[in-house]
Amino acid sequence: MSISKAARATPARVTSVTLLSLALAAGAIVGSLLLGVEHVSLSRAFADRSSLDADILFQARAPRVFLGALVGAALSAAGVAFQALLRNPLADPYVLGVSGGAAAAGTAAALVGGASLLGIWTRPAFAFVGALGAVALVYAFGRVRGALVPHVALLAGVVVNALAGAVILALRLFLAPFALADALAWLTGSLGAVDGLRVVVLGVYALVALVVLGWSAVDMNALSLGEEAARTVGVDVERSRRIIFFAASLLTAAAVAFAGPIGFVGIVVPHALRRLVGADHRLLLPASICGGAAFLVATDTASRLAFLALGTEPAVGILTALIGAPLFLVILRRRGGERAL
Amino acid sequence: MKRLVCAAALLMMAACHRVPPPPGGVRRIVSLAPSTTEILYALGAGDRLVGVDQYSDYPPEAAKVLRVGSDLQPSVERIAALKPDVAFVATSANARELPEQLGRLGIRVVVSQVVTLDDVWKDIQSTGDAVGRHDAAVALVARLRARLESVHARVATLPPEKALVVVWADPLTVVGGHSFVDEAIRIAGGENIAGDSKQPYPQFSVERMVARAPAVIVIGSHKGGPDPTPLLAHASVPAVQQKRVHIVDGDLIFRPGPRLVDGIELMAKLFHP
Repeated sequence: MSISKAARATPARVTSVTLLSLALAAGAIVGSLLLGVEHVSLSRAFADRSSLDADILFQARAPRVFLGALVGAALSAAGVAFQALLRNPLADPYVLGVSGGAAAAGTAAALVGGASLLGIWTRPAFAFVGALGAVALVYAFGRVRGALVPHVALLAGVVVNALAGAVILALRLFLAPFALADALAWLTGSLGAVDGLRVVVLGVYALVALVVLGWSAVDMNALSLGEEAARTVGVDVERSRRIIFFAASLLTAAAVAFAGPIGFVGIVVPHALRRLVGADHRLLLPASICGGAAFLVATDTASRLAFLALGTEPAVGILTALIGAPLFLVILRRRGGERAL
Repeated sequence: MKRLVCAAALLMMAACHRVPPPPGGVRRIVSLAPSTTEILYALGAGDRLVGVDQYSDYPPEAAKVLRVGSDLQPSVERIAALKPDVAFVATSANARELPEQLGRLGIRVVVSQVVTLDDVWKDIQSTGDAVGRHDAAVALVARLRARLESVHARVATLPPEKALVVVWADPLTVVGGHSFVDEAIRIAGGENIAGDSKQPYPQFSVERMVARAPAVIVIGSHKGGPDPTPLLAHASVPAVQQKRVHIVDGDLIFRPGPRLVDGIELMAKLFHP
């Protein structure tokens, strides 16, 4: 495939790529709604809303599928944004410390568990606040003379993640065995027992952040060429870096708060799609949003079905890593000597 | 698979340094699992405990005994400094290396491995034997088994209730097959809807839970949770409809000690009121 040809983002091409990837995501969602652990009669589910079929489809399956789609879209979009911001193809949504802050605070939530006033919102709330704390720390230490400097922020992010790792290990000492097992499952990244309200909350929130990122797609193109090049084409580098940093960080924070730090979505999906649609962010971003949704939904469906024989359902993060890591290596291999971005 | 685990455990035990019991009898005991601590108190040997793990919280007297750290990472130094005549280690709660580590320090280690309900009785007996309370252990096991007999006599003729015992609600983690809790559910007159799972405590499919329509859901509570709310959303589940989702003290169900029988009696009441 010729990158130069593919990279041209004419309005017609943006439309066709967007529609095509939307169709892909929709296909994954519909497929996942139809393919479940238990057989569901659609006619009965829609005819009788109090039936077992309706309960399985609307209460157990649908919230999980849609949460997976939103989290996948968010992580993948955040991955694209961070890769552009840091000009580094290895950047993922977690590289700037967001996951560390969320993971540490989410583990701390296991100490209070359902006993707090927040009930089942305890962990998402803790994790979200933890993620915001990490974002604030990275922003505070990632600036030089008031301007966000990507490689300084990257170092701050690495340190925040390392600090969070130590905090998690320390917290483990205080957790009872079952709470510990649960915290570990969440740390692997899990789309467990979700309720519809979470989907709605994340949906509205993610939409705002995605629109902001979409707005910045042209700036991402300029930034990935380098600071000087971006200035020559008239981009306010400081301002657009700040916008992309906060939009991508806040998006990641919400995704991690609900589903734990699911790995590899934010790095594998953008890389795979960059090969298909090219590096122009006006194409890459919409493709990655939909592709991320499709990838996570499909992987979660597989994790629900693949371990049926064992009578269990592992956290989806295990499978995204098991699929994502080899896939990433294949992409690396096939890219050969091409440019990083 | 089970055989493999047993073989591995035997090998591990054989590898431990065997230290003989002291001539003057066992006076100083360290227990590294809450269930062992409960057994020792039930056998009247609780006053000889000089150190316990941080989760040993029953009976209340146990809280006054010196803590030697968490089950997974106890302070080996502190255990050694206590100069115990015997240290009890449970494979369910402790790290694999622990028996060997303690044995190397010249500490006599008794390892308990509980998988089935039968193992619980054996464990009580071997714990009693190890601290010179053989007769008390025989009597305790007989008493506990008699109580189970009377539970069995009451519920055995009734049709088993479809039941689910929940460890954690989000992600849904339940009692599967291959554990003493699975057997406990059966004795209490329940049919574990997750009993076909090959793991003792699997993460379980919510869809499958709904489809299998449990008549009773028992949530074993422990510090920090779980919150039953995600389960209550499934209005088609009979247990939710008939308000038969019960939260009980998880220590009565999940700890392989004498209070497990309290837990079984309690479950029997919930399954067959």
